[in-house]
Amino acid sequence: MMLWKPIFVAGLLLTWLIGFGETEATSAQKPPAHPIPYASIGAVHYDGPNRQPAYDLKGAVIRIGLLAPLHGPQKAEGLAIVGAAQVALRNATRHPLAGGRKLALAIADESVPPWGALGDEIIRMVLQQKVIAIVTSADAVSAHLSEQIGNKIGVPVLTLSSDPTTTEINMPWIFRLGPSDTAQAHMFAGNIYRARGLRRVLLVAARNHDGRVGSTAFVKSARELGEPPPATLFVDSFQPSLAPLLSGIRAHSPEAIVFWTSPQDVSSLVPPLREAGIHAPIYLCQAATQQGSGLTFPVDRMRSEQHLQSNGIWTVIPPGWGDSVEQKFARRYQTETGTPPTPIAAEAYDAITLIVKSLRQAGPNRARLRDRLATVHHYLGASGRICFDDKGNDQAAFQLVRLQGPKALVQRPRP
Amino acid sequence: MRPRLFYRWRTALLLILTAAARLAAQNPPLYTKWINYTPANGFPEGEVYSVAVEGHRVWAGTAHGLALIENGRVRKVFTTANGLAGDAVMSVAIDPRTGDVWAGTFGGLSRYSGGRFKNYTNLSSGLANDLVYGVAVQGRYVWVATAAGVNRFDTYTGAWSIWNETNAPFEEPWCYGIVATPKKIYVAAWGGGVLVYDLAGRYWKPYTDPDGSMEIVLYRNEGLIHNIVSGIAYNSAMRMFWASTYFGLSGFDGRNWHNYLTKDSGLASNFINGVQTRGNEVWACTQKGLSEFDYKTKVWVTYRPANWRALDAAKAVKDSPGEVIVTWPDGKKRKLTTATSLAHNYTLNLAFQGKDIWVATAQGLSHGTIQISAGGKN
Repeated sequence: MMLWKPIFVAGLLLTWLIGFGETEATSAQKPPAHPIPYASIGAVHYDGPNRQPAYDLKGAVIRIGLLAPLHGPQKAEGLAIVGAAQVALRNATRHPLAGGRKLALAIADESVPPWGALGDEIIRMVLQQKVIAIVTSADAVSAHLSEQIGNKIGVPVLTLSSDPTTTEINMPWIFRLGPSDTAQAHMFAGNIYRARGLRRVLLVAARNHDGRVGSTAFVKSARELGEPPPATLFVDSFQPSLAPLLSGIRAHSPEAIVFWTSPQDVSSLVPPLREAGIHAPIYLCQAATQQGSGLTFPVDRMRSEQHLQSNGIWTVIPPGWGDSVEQKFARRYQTETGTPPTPIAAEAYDAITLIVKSLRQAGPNRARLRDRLATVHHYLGASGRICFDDKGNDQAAFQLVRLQGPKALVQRPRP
Repeated sequence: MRPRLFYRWRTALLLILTAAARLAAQNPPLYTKWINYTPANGFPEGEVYSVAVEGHRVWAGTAHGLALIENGRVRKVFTTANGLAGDAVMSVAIDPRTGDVWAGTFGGLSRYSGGRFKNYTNLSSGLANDLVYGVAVQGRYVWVATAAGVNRFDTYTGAWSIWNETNAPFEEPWCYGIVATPKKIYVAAWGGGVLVYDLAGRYWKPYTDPDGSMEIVLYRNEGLIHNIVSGIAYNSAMRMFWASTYFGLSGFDGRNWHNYLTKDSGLASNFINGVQTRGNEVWACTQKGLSEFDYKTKVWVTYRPANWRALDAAKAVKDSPGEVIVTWPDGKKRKLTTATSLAHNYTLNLAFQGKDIWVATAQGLSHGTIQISAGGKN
């Protein structure tokens, strides 16, 4: 009997030691490379009300809200968006809606002071003009304000803003067209750091919401590639002179420059940079290539590795750009507006077209229209293929391209 | 012998306490009677965004005006025609000292006093923005959550103060909700998490999602669940603030975070429009019903119409049966049916009236009461 006790204790000790050793060895052998998130945002599902016919919009005219900058420095991009939307509406209204209803645009100027009257403009569209949906420009502030109101009142929002945070919040009312800042940042960073092997990178960002979100996305992409964060210079829209900024850029002697700014900043900064002999490749976020930048489309297609290494001005466009649908739209757009369209103008065209197509199926009801838009997975539009995922993100593949800009912008590339 | 006796008594006591707790957990008080206010009884149509209680009076902010219910009857619906700043009323607060009613609308801020409205807008006052999502009264001050920052209005001097991204640690100026306590002001910010203003110290402290990603929760109780915060409430008994997000519910006790998602609790949906607390209770207004969480017993109860999945297609909402789902701490669930139900599963806000609750839903205001039978059982 007396022997059992020490044997039992020894056994326990041995088991504990072996067990402990195994645990340590296992955890040492398999360190978690990336912690598995506790939870992820899944598919967005809307369980809200107002799908009944009683909540259909009344009246002989169904209006689609459109927010665009119509005054000030961004007027050109606003007019381009409005022009594209009007082309889309004319195209879509060749066949009347059910009940002989007509379609119209309710256009609001977003170039009012953003923290004051913009909200009033959106409310006027939603509550007084009773728009069926809102299309917002590339400006993220407009997108977020519309989203916040749309979420309370129940209005679908299609945004051309690349701000990914508009759709990363489990919100059923918003759909984002075009490449997100994250997607663009990944492409730029991959080309700069991996394909070209460049290290001295300068990020020029607007000192506003869009610049902050875009530059954060690029810094994050650089970090994911194991690269140090790039040097960053901020552009203030009220900056009286660009001379200090230009000398700041020159002082960095960058091998590559990434712009997350407005098109106006591109038109005022890039030509002097080229004139100063800085021929480093320039990467422009899609919003910076809009009307007002001085850039024109079409683009050089990348067909070889050598092409990928060339200097010039680069941006991201949908893969379908240049296809028959886009060309048809481009011809009509150029005929009616006198200028070739930018990708964002094409996205505006697609946003209106998608709303009208969905409206024909859903009827004049905001909640049913939302449901219908949520089912758009493979739509071939003027801006390329549109594929909303279950969170409202456009998941179409995008590609990096070199722009054929005017001579003032794209001077002779470095040999 | 003595220590052994002590251990026996302690074990017995623990067993008794556990059994008592279990018994208590088996019988949470349930709201089984619902009276709904819809166009059928003179209430405005559509969404009810906010509700506030003042004695026997209930004020409801709706998509079509500010409704007053007195002693169970709709007394008046105030709209812009009556002087209200905007018809879509996002928030309501009552000044307990004066009885003044403050309404945050999509056309500015309204003060209802002495039978008249006085409006404050972006152009006519120091109001930061006409999109007023939240309003709260703290003594002589009225705090306002707008789409362009937080305002404080001094009702004595008429002076306005403003805080936004230029003078406070706001990631974004978009404020979606606000609650005032004697010591602190709590703000729900869209994109900026929770911001807390210390009244004595006159400083702001932000609380944001620490994992740096909008689409994941890296660790369960790592911090605030998400930076888009839809509502905020403070519980003085728990000394905790609770934040509702569209990705789950977060509570903070000053040291630790307590996060709840549908995957680990009885929460009806992670999409939460608003939150309120009372005693040990936390109420989450979700798009799949109203979820009550007893922080002490860890029991969840969700209320919604029994036919909620088909509700939107149904013609008659009134008097449809209700569904009550009780979720125990071990995850087991029990479903009960009640004769009446909430007006809609899409709930937006809540207010307490003694033991009763008033629930703002997407299709009407619901008044819930706990029915006690003659035997004293719920």
